[in-house]
Amino acid sequence: MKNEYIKGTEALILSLLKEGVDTIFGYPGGTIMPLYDELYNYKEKINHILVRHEQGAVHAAEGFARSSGKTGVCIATAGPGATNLVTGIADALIDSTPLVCITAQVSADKLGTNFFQEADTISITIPVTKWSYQITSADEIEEIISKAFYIARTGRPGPVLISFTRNAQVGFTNYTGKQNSPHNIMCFRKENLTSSTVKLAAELINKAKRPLIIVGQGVIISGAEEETLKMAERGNIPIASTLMGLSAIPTSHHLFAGNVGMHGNFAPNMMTQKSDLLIAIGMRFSDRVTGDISRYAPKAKIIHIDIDKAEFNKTVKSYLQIHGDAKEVVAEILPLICYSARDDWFGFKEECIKDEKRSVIDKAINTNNRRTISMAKAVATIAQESRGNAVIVTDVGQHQMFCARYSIFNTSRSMITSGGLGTMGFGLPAAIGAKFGAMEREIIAVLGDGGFQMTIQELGTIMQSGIDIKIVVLNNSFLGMVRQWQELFFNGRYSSTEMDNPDFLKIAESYRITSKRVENPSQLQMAVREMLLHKGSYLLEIVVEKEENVYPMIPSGASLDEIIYK
Amino acid sequence: MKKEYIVIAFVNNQISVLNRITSAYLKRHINIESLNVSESFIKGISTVVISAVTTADETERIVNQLGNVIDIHKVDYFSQEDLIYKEMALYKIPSTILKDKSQSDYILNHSNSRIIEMGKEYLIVEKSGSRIELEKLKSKLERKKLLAGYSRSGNVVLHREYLPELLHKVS
Repeated sequence: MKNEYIKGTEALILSLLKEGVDTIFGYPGGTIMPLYDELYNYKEKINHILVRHEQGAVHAAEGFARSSGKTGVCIATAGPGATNLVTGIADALIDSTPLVCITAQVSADKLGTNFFQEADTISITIPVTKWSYQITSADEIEEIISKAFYIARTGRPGPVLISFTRNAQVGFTNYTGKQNSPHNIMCFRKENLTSSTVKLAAELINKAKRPLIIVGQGVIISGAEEETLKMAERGNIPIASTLMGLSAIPTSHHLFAGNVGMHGNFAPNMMTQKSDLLIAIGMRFSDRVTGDISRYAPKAKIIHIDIDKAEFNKTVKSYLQIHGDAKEVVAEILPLICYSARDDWFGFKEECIKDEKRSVIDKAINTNNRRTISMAKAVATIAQESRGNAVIVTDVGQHQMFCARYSIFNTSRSMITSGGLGTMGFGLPAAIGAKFGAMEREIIAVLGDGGFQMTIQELGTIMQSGIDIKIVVLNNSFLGMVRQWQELFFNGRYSSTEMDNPDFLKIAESYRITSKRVENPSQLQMAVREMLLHKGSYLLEIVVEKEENVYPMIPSGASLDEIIYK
Repeated sequence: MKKEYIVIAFVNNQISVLNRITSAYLKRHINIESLNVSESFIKGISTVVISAVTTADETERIVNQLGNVIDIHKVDYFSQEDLIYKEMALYKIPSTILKDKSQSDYILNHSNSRIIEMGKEYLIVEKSGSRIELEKLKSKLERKKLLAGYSRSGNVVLHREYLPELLHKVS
């Protein structure tokens, strides 16, 4: 146990090390310089990844957290550095990603004077953080950093912002190095799961003729994949996934019905409408999942299992709410579940799957007589060639939905995407972070040409850090999803959605990243294979159909029954 | 149905808790009618009382969100009927009113208010009560063109019943 006076910056780094931090994404600047000076002394212990924009740092920290299950850490300077983090912090809040974001702040005695690069970071980030704190004295550092990590990862994970004033950075403190005592935070207190609740849940499940499990990201966060799958197998219950829950259940599993929601699969959406019992685990009934709430799952009782009480009855009313960690709750219910054949129910599932294959999938993937590559085919080829073992990191838009629909996932934490906030520009930096969080895994960033250009500067981070990630740009020279909506709902008036793009290969070349462009469907498979075999980072630009639409689609505000095929 | 709901939160006396609470209203575009922060019966714990006109569902969503705020120990919502619920107001009235008994009689004898300062030009009158009662006196003075200044506090509340669960959770 240490007991010595050290600088605030060193106390911060030692506190981070105590929390097991070994990777930080950040960008230096004026007010954070004392911390960067200290990082220089600890570069053997903490790998600082220099991004090219603070937004890149926060998305990379998100990608790191999502691939590793650890808390992501990013650093930015005061003022513009801090405000550049805001989008990523909001993204992390809505997608329950544990982050500790450390931003510099002017000295405490200068607060409120409009000092150079002063911005009220705490106020700006209050609506998008789980907790925030301004450290104004070096003596606070040890306790606050411990609390920050505890809050970020406990309960429903989320982002914490620590504003670190300059005087606290350069001030001295008596750093103890001892393990902090547990933090007593009311909202994290566990409620005991009663046996009557567990029995009622099991009874509802056993009696149900048409049950459907819907898994959300909560299953991944709590590590409940195995228990959930066991429960489904034991009871012979089909499983659907939300966008954020994808990869929790292997897509090849015979009980897996696909993903629900606006561009989800036909089977799980139709099954939701026919089901007599939905077992929602770690999901929040987002509007993208439910469509018109008043017509959502009209025949179903709902068992809602979630760590966040605030999600109960927020949009969809549930019959039974079980507050708790998904892994613990499902493990309790599991032994009470009985097998039931449910032949008709599975017959309906198969019928829907065949229907979707015939009416949508075959058409989207079929390459016969095609001169151009469809996005669906591109994603399916990546899935096939990577054999479902890669981590797919997406940006936001059509390609994201195609990835959700046509990817193959064998293991958990294999789909990293911006679900709740829909943040364009997320993909590339998140893929960088995902690589640092899971160095042993193949990371494939699948991006659209629009989102890629929002954070394209992070190619510099890839170049400098020397990591191996594969970047696939599905280039249709359009902001595809917006264009699709303009086509379907705005009389085809393509207002500001066509993109005049640069030569992505030249850009990749200037960042010393090997690259290739493929336009012909016959060359697609070889190009993807070549990319995957390449040692080091690689950019594959796939020129895809300009006006391909993602189907099926449930228009915003419509019922899940009102699905559009074309 | 929209009506006035009162949210009571027991919070750590920390910078930024109040912003987190008001932010839950702001994000839903709900106007706060009254807000009071004061020290509670437990040292270091403050009571925040907010009233707003909204629906029960919306209030429940706000309370659920606030339940996740790290520095909030306990939060719940109530209807006016559940609570002893008072506000305090100060009224600035021209001293000339004292010369006219017909004008001053109501203020001095029938409004349940009291004069707390008597100046050469103005009286400062204090009254506590429900918001309706306070507003009634205000309107009356305004009609008579006798109101030179007005200030009303936020709510101070106590639940009518003994709430052992609440006390246990907070302490």
